Parts: sequence; structure tokens; C-alpha cells
Amino acid sequence: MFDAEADIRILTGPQGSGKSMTGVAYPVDDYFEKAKAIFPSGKQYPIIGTFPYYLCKTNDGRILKLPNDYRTRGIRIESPVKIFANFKLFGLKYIYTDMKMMIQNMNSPLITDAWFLIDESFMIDKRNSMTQVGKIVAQFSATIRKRRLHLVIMVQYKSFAELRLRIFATQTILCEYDKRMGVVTLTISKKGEKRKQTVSYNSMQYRRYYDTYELIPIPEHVIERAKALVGAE
Amino acid sequence: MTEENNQIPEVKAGYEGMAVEEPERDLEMSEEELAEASSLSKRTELAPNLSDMQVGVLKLFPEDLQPKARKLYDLLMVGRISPDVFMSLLRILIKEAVRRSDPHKPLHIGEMVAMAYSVLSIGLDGKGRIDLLEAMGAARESEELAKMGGGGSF
Repeated sequence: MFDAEADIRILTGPQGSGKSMTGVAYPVDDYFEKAKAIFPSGKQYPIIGTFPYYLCKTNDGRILKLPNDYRTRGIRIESPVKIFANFKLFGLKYIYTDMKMMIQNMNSPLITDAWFLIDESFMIDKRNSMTQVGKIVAQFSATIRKRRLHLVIMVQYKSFAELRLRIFATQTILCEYDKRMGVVTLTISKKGEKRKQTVSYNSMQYRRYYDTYELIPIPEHVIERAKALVGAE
Repeated sequence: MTEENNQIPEVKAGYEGMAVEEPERDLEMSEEELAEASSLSKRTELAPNLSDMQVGVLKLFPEDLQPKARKLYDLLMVGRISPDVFMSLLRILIKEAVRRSDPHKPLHIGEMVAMAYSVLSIGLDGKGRIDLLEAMGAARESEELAKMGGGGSF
């Protein structure tokens, strides 16, 4: 799962281009590839399909379709894949990680061996790079490999992201969305490779794992400071 | 300067204690969408990692040409074809294709004409190839760079 190199992916594209969808798709695929359906009887079978139903494969090769109300029937889907995100995820176990949570756990081993998704965030905006918080984020970004993280950053333009993240990035992925077909097309540029990879996928299968209209909150301390500047209550 | 925080603090509640899981959102999906779905990771594995030039070459030398005439067509696409002989060559190629065709099978005149015309058009002054190489090279790079806001694309 983890390379010797830091895995930092910057997803770019205008609003509505499928950045968040793609950012979610990577950990979703990893999550269910390693997930198991655990039945009340204690039997565990690997998940082999998630769209539109959860499918699992028994030891004797049978394919089972989990009922839609599998939760209420005591069936659990468990995956060893850890996910941190600064937005809400659905149908996956994850930890909501805002800047406060991130800084509180900076020196703990909590944020390791995981996917870390940052969408349109104050955390990685280059304009904040010289603030105390920005410096901590820069320090954090230098330890991605040591933490064995897959960092996925979603910004409209690569130049909006903090400089170190742009330098460290191992993949830059340009996203384009075809509304008519519901297909997201990615142009993937990998560090050190001149070749580009173009991949398209159906967006429908990932829509249920996040809410595209969720607003990413601005940290309270930033709002308080802005209020003080303009004299707002 | 002393190291004040040289000990890593213990996590009060580990990942399992802090992680939450909400049910997936209920979204309706059509049968067509279900039939064609394939995960991003699988598609990434299968997607070719072609350079711009390789993509261009595939476009320049279509693979579904008639196998018997393949060598001739390849030569015509590489060579420069003078506009003066374009129509004459077109007639010759169509006649040639008719002559080579299986007499026991129906004749697809439209396909033969289109094939010969496409091959000759690619070869005409090399214009088509130059246009495509420009499109797949410099033009595409600059477009992506602009979309990325000048941040560069490695």
C-alpha cells in the first residue's frame, strides 16, 4: 500500500469538475478492496463489489448480495483502511479532521497509515503559509512519508496550494466533468514522468459517499479576527 | 535550546474510538449506469500510460485499415501526396480495393471510399499530421498549464 516516496496528490479543476468525487474515490476503492462483511454468525467474507449493492464472496465461491438494510440485520462492513477528511463522508468509517483536530494530534501517532483528504481548505491555502498555523501545516506536509499517509488535496488551481505541497506533490490530477454522461475524466501527471495517463470513470458510484454541497467551514479564529477588523459582533 | 516535547503523547482515544460512520446517502441510479460502472482504481490500472506522441501516432496510423492494403496505406500516410494527383490516386485506390474484395461478400463502397480518402488526406502535404502533432504537443501542454493556473504540470 505504501511506497518509499510520499504520496501527495493534488486534484485541480474548476468548481464542479469532480475533484471532491475523485478525492473520495481513491480511499473508497482502497477501503472496500480491503473490507470484509462480518455476519452475526461471525463469518467474514471479503467485499468484491460496492455498486449498487455490496457483494461479498464466500469461501466456497458463492456471491452474496447484502440486503439494503444490512446494518439493521447485524451485518457490518469493516475495513482496516483509516481515513481522515475535512468534510463529511458517508458509509465509511473516518475521522472528521479540521485544523484544530489536526494541530491537536500533530505529535501523536494518530494521523499515520491513512488517507488524508483536504478539500478547498484554509489549511493548505498558500496565503496562510506565513501564519503560525501555516508553518505547522508546512511542517506536517514534510512528514507525509514518515507518517505513511496518502495526502489528497483538492484545489481549483494548483497555484492556490501551499508551495511545499506543490513541490512535494507526486501526482497532479486535472479533473473534468461531463454533465451529460456523468463521467469524470482525469489527466494524471506523475512526478518525474513525461507521460500522462487519462482515465475516465462513472461518477454515480461514488456520489453516495459524500455530499457535493457541503460547505467547508472556515476556522473560528479566522472569523473572529476578521470580525475584529471590521468591527462586527 | 532544549527539546520540550521529546516524548510523543499518547492518543487518548485511538482511531477506532474517534472514527464515526454514517450510512451512505441514498441515491437513485439507473440500470444503464449500474451496468457500466467500474471503479476508479480498476480503470487507472487498465488505462494506458501513453505519451502525447504515442497517442498522436495511433491517430496518424489507424489500426483498422484493410490488412491486405496495410503497407500501401502506411506508405501513403507517411509520404507527401501532391494535390494534383489526389483525385487520381483516390480513384486508383478505390478500384484497387474493389478488385481485392471478396466476390462472394457484399461490397461496401462507402467504406472503401472513406478509407482511401482518409489515407490520402492524412498524406496530403503532411498537413494533417503536422496539425495533429501540434495539437497533441505544444497546444495541449499550454492548455493544461493554463487550467492549472500556472502551477506547472511537472
